[in-house]
Amino acid sequence: MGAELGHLALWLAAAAAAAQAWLGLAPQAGSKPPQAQSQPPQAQSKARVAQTLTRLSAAQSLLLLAAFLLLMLGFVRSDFSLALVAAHSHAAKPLLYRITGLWGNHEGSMLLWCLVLALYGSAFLLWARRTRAVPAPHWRRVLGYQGALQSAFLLYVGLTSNPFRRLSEPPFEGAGLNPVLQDPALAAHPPFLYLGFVGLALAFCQALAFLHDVRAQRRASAANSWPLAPRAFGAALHVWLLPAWVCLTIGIALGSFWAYYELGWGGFWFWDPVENASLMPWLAATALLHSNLVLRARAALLSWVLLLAMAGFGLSLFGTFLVRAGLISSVHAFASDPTRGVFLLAILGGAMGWGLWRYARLRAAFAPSAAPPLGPRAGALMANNVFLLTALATILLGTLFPLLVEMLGRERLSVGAPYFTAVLTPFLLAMALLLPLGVRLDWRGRWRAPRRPLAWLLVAALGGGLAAWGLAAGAAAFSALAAVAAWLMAGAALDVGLQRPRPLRLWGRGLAHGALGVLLLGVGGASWLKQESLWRMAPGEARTIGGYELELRRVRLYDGPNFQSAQGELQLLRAGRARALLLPERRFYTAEQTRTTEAAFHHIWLGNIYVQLGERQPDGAYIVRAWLHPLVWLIWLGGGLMALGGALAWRWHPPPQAGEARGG
Amino acid sequence: MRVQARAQWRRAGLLLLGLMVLAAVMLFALQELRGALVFFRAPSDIAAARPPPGQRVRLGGMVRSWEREGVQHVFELTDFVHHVTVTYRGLVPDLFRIGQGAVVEGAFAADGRFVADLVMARHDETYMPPEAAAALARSARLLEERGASHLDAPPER
Repeated sequence: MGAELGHLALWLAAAAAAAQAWLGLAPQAGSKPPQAQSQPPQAQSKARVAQTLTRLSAAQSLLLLAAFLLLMLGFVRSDFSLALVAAHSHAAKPLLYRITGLWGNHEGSMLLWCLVLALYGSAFLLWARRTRAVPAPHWRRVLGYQGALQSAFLLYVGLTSNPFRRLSEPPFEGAGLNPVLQDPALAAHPPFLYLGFVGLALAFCQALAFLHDVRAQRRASAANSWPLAPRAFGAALHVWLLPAWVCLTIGIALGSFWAYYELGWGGFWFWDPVENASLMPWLAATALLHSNLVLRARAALLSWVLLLAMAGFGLSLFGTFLVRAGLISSVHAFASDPTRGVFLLAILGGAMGWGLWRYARLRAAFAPSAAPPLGPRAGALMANNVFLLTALATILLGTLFPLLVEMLGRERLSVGAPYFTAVLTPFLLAMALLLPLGVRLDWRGRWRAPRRPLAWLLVAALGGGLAAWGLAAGAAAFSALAAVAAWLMAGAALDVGLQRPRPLRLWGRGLAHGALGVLLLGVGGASWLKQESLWRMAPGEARTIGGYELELRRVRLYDGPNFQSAQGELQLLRAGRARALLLPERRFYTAEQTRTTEAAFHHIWLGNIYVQLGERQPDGAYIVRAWLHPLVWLIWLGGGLMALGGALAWRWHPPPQAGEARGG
Repeated sequence: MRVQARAQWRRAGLLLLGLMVLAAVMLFALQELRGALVFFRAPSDIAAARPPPGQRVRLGGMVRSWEREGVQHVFELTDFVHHVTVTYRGLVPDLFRIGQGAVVEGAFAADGRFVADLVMARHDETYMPPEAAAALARSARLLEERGASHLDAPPER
């Protein structure tokens, strides 16, 4: 019964979204020349429209929340008459994973996507009405576009990916969830990613709303004024873009962390097409964030902001498509049928096409006037854009190339990691070197290298490089990277230290930029300083790696809630003293009839000793694989700090437009 | 007028510089891309044309036999028409077993054996890597033409 109600709620939400789209996008009173209006009835009908939109948005959110919760109920109660639950769940699974298993599959995750979109829409509406940061015609358009997108997605879910499908003969037990996905980090990974992707969808709606009717408004209003001032648009965009960016950063970091400890060999990024598909929107969002900075401060780079908002959404939708179309061989890919992929591609094409067409109209209405010369700071941000977008383009090439070749010819191929690292390193390096200098530039005036910070930066970089050289016993590449990381971190410290006053967003900026240095240091350490060993150990034997000793005490067999396990007990010793006990396992999940390897790791300063238990050999010995991953924690610490920096810089109420504030 | 002309000249110059840098970057990227491509081959492709030793390729098919001694693994991948012997040193993924699909990456050694350094994990029971599935589908068609099928004892060399 519950599932049928959920299904009904889904379609009702689709209807509400369609109504919202129609109401929000309909030609508005106020777009006609003034003399055709009569004031009191206009005001009343506007208020009515606003109220109806609010109700429709609330209905959409509540209905989708109800549908989501009803589906979750089905998972929690292990209702195997629901096809989705039967295919992806099992009664013996722990409660947490029964719940999070809802979005571990295509249909459930699309429902989550739609729910997040509805919630974003309602939140935006409440914010717009409360803060009055944008005029009513604009936020009505935003909601109209959000409704249009939502109807398209709900149609997609309802027609091709119905999560509420019933089975006429329910099985006695479910097929279970892939044990590799029964994990807290992975459970949290999709929600954060979707908060990011769907936030970019909202930014897209804001951009479309800005472009809507711009020609008609232009004709009606005074010659040189905009219906919505670009600066106000930028400020409103920032309020909603930043949380999306923060969530996307966290989602990617979580995914990387999960891959590290679950996939068994201590890698943290594989240049997997699906990983790239989450990185590309992040790069676009970062470029958008920084271009928006210029828009808010100098009312320039409007085209960049609009096009990047479209690109961010397009890339996130493309990423969703890639995961579901069954085109790629990846640990991520949902094995799905092509019709789902084609439908998503159609939504993507339609949305992008509409956006670009609107943008073309804008360009036709506003010939680019003699643009004021970009000041030094804006120029540096432009250069930053160029670096980020070139990086994005090269990743896009590396991701799309195999797909294109496969569609055109009959060859199947993959692009190895060396391509990505080789192509991205120069841009990353260039960006890292210029970052601390760029933040010290003024909006106006001449380009000049700020002398005092430059000296300190050089000292810091040299110090960092030499320290790394000494500590890492002469690893040249790592020392160079450490110098760059020190340069970045010192630059961030100087950025905050040399400026007064120090609003919270300055701290946020410094933290986020410094976190990049932390991240780089972690990547360098984990990639270049790692050590690996493969041993054959009998219980009682010990081996050494990187100055630490590992002793296999015994291997214990035990039964878990839904698996059987062989657990090794490895004592970690340093200079004879016991430091920790590592417990790697090999598990056999009875329901799914699959084996998994649970690696064990223990932190050593900022790195890890990482151990994997292999098969038992005929003579009673075990294969043990051990790594030393120095500084690897800096990778996720860096990601987390970056997200924290972004969060610190967020304000829900855009500041009043009072001239060009420095920084911000 | 002169100021405007100079400004336009500068803008044109910057644009030209930008395009040149873009072209250089693209050439660099494409060159790196070509060097990092790893083609997928089915056992039948290998039988038809063996890649030169040292060239990195991916190989896929169904695991026909599997012998292991400690960390040293020797297994055969087949598409039911031809098979290739693969050696691998390390721990194989948990879902690796006889009768299931697998994709490996590595290169041929001079003696003709394929030395893999990466063995890909499937992530659930129903999923087969698309490359392996395509290879098997192709060989199934081949066998059909011969009047045989995958279910018969493989008529291999």
